Amino acid sequence: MEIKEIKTTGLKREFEITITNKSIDQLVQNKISELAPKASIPGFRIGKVPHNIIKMRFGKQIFGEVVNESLNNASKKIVDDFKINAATQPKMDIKSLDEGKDIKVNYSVEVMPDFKVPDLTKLKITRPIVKVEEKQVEESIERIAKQNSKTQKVDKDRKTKLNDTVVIDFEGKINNQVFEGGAAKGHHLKIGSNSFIPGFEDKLIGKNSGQNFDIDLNFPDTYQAKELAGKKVVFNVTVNEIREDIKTEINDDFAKSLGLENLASLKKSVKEQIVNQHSIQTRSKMKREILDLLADSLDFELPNTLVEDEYQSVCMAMKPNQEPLNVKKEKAYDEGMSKTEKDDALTISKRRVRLGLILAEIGRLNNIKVEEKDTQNAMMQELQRYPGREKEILDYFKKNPDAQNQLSGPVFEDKIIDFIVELAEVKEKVVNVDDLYKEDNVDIKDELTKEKNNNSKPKVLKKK
Amino acid sequence: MIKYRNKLKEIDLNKSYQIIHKPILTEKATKLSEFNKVVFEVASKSNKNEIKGAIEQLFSVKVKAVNIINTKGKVKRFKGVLGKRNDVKKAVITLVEGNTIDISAGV
Repeated sequence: MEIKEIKTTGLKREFEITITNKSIDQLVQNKISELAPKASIPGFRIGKVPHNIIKMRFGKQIFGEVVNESLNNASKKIVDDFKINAATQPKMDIKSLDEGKDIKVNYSVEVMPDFKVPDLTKLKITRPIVKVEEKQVEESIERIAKQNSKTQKVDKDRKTKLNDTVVIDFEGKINNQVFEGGAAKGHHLKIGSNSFIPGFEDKLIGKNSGQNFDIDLNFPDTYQAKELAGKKVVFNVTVNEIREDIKTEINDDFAKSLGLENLASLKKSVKEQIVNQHSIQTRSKMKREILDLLADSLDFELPNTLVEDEYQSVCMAMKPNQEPLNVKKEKAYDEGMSKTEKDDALTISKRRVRLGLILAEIGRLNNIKVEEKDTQNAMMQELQRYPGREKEILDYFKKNPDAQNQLSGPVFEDKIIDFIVELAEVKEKVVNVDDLYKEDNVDIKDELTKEKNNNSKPKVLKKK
Repeated sequence: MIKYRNKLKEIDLNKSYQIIHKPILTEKATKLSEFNKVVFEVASKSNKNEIKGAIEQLFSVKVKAVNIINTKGKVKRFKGVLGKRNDVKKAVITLVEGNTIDISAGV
């Protein structure tokens, strides 16, 4: 077996493996002698089969096995001898594979780029801190109260006004024909809620209880039911009852109606909720900051294959509503995208790959590993998202180790981020709520602008 | 005349394939190879001369002798109905010294 390095361009290294016919033959013979005492072939007693008969029967299979084995050995040897830290699965390109001849294989692999992880202790990040004020808590409680508000029948005889709830019977006719969904009895409608077609609710203002009247209207041209859009319609409406909102008193009783002990505990739980929300947001903000810093601090060559993979998924993400890639059609994943779009996708994918590599390296250097426990936790969380189908999902994970790996990706990321947060210099800064939630959604477009402005601010590479 | 000869040869080749069915691969047959003998299953209606010709044509070897074994098929009873297995004619071919047939190489 001979190994020759033939080409090194950037991160790509190519080797040529030559396996001589002689060594292959030797291995085949060994295999046959191994098989001979056990092989059972009709016409022969077990263990009495001559070697040439075995070769005739199993020759191709044995040859394949032997070639496979020796290529694996060669690959291992290359990794050991040339100290290769592969970033991708090596590619083997078989140039000649014939029985009775030397076997030549081109072996190409992309190595991990060489880079130094920046000193994490020197990273400066800010932890946004938001104080939860009484006012906020009260506001959100009021909101809850409003959502739970009840209505009360108006006793005294008065005309309807905005924000009243009326109980109506109505029947709508187009060309004297009742249409589907155009009639109801005892319908509760809040005037001003805009749940009916425009104009309907306005006409209900200033009516008395028990009054019967017609409303002439046009369906808007943009109405979602196409056969009704733009048509003239007459509604015959009877107002049965007028109700008005009662203001919900925020007190212990209200808290009880929500299943809590008293007002104090309601306040407490609302506050907790808000704090919780903030902490998630704080974390993700810090995470983004760390990632931005990391990506800015380094620039190095990236393995092409990884970029290519990421490019593919970015392209898919940039074209929502796309039918899933059809293998049969062999449609290129960036088909139909303009040149700038393609460039954009490439920039994003490069950024993601760079960051993914940095994170992986940090994890490796500091011995951060995803443990069984962590994956289990992540799996449990996943299960909770599908109540009632836990068993199904669990089975799915058990059967698909790949799916489990996918879970462990984000877990790994989180662990590394935690690790960095511990090391890095964390400054605390009080911000107000709006600032915290600003630029909340990082989608691809955001990512791109950032990348363009700062030249490098990646999101995390999804672990495959 | 030449045309006719070619035609004759072609027919002959087809016939040869019809005469020689397959090699027999057993311990006994393999043992015989020590004595430069090869065993084939042949068409039961063929005779020694035909077999000799067919072997010489197919494998391009010289045949010294052909010995024939006729094996009658067993009579078997299935659900009370008598049936008979096929008869098999085997030919032990002795080759002239210096000639070999590599069975594993195929025809």
